[in-house]
Amino acid sequence: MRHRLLGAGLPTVVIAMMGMASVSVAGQAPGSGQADYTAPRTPWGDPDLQGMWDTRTYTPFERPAEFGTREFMTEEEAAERERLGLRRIVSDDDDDAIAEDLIQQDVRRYARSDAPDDGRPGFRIAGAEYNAFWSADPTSPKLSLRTSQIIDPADGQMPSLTRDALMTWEAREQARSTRSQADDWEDRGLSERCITRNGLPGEMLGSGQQPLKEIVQTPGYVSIVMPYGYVRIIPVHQDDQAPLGAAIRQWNGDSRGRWEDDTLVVETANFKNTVKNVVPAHGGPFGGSAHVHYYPGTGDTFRLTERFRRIDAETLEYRYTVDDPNVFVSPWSTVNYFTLDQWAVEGNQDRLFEYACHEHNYGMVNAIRAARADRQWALDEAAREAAIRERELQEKWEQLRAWERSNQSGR
Amino acid sequence: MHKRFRFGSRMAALATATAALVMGLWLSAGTTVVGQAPSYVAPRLPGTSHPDLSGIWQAFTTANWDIQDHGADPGPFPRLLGVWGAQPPGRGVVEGNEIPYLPEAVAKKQLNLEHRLTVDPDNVNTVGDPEAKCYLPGVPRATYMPFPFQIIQSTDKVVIAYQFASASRTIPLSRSTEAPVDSWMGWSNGHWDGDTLVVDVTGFHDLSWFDRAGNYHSDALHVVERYTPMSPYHLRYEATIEDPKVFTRPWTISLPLYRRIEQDVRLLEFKCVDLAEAYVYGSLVDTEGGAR
Repeated sequence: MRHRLLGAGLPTVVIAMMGMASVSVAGQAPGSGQADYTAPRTPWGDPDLQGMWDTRTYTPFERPAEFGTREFMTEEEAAERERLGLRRIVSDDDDDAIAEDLIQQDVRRYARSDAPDDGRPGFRIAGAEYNAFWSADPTSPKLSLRTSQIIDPADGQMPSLTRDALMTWEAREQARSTRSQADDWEDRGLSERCITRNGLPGEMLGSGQQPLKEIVQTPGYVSIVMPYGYVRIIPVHQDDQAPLGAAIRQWNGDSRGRWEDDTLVVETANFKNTVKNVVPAHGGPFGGSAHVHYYPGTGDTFRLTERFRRIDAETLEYRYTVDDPNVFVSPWSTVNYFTLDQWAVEGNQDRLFEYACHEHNYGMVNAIRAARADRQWALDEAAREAAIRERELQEKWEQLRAWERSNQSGR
Repeated sequence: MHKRFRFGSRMAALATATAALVMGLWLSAGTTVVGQAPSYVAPRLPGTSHPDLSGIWQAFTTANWDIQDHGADPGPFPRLLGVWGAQPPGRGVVEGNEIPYLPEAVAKKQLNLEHRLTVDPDNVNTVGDPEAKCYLPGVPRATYMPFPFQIIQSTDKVVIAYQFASASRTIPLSRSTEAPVDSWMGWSNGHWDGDTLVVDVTGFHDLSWFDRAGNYHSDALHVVERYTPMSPYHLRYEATIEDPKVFTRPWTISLPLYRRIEQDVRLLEFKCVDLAEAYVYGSLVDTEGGAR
């Protein structure tokens, strides 16, 4: 949850701040950093990455077609995208669009808070913000003029899925075709099941509801407190510790870190490879944009490499490379920029709040019951969703065929 | 790097400095406190004057079954599980072995015990032991569950990550703040009392339990924990529990925590949600209608 608003207190304050939340485009193109910048050190001599980091981004995951091969847009183009409503937080799930809508609903209701109650539920709320309470964030992520998070390949597009991956995807769709939306819990996405949000690396980027990650260090370890109910604990330079055996598979893999000058390099493997969920809506291991929720599982061959580096006093450059030869025809890499959260710096927030998703998951109870109350409806809805995925699947087949035509020896 | 136990390098790095200090304290130690190791001075976290409690720790007690004295018991499903599901005997961790329930509060403990493995889809988090459902274990229970946890201590903040359910707590050390809303793991504020890390925890709701025996608390729970280094391998853990809605007076539990010293020890992932779904939701899909 967004604890910040609890700290902000009065809803009037919240509304006022939301009104001011337009982002200045003012020449910010984080990424260059200060050439002569040296990261501060912890008392034990490691680069100090600690703090509460705002991990949201406006940068499109893949490069929109209009930018062609350009890595950066102009400030005029950025302003135009904002005018068209194209610039929204794209980072970790497509709930943000919904959240933004809910915020606006609450704003309208709040404007009616002094009006006589006409009895309609939700017509007005008097001081008790609900949805905006969870979603609104009075600040905005720092603006990058990058045209895509993906910087490799140079076209800014995620590489084609492999033939094996697409066949796995198809097999999952086939297995799912006779099932309703919620014949049981495994028909729901990993996010709804409170297992992962969209897994690593997608979860490293923030959403409107969960913008922050907190880094806390001790000698030999860097920990990243994640907003989705776990802590990533990264042992650093503990090379005498044997790697995990292949039998141990984890939702968030097993991470090992090392310092390369001021950069924390983290390699993660041993991802779970037994995801039975046939369609992990929200739960594809490669989050990052609204349309990558349906990808087939991974695990056996997925190796994630991340690089964290402070490039100036308030910016953490975050790069990751996905190498998963079973799933992608080639590795791909991204860059994003995290900003030191000023609200926390000013002492207003000293931790992330508890997630406790599964503990209160009445939504699952209701989904399963609803699918029994009207199974035909639940089957029809499942078919409607499957049709959307089918279109995306066919696009991916076309992308693969095009790649195969231009690469006679694919892997 | 040479082979070593996990705490090795840090210990070695500080050994020289600490040795002089230890010698000094040995010479000056006039009195001993019963149950403590007066000669032990833990290595400091660099940049601070405080002991470094970082490491992977685990309780070795049967308190998760029952924080009071308990004998061996077949457990709830002997026909199904044999001795796998049996309760091992154990001495309690409650000082004096008495939990001072208010007279009117005793019945609920008994009810909890009787229904500890009941699942009610209409009351998923108010009926039955939260542990069985993979719910966040609360404090102090997280400490003495049969799973390791890791302390990550920085200069002004401590993170404790528990293996069970990937639970965690962030404990700021510099300033106390109030819980914005109630939660399972509570709202922790820490400070140092000499070499003891004191963690004051409030902001609980009433949903977590102390053990499988159904010992419970209300939303008025206030826990004060004390973590004191006893040796390179041990912490003394004490927790004082206060809850005027349920107990007549504060009471205290204490137990040692043991450092996990295996060469390759890691806090592995026990995100147990998917392991608990059949238990929590199974009754819903057993009814007619859906495929399974």
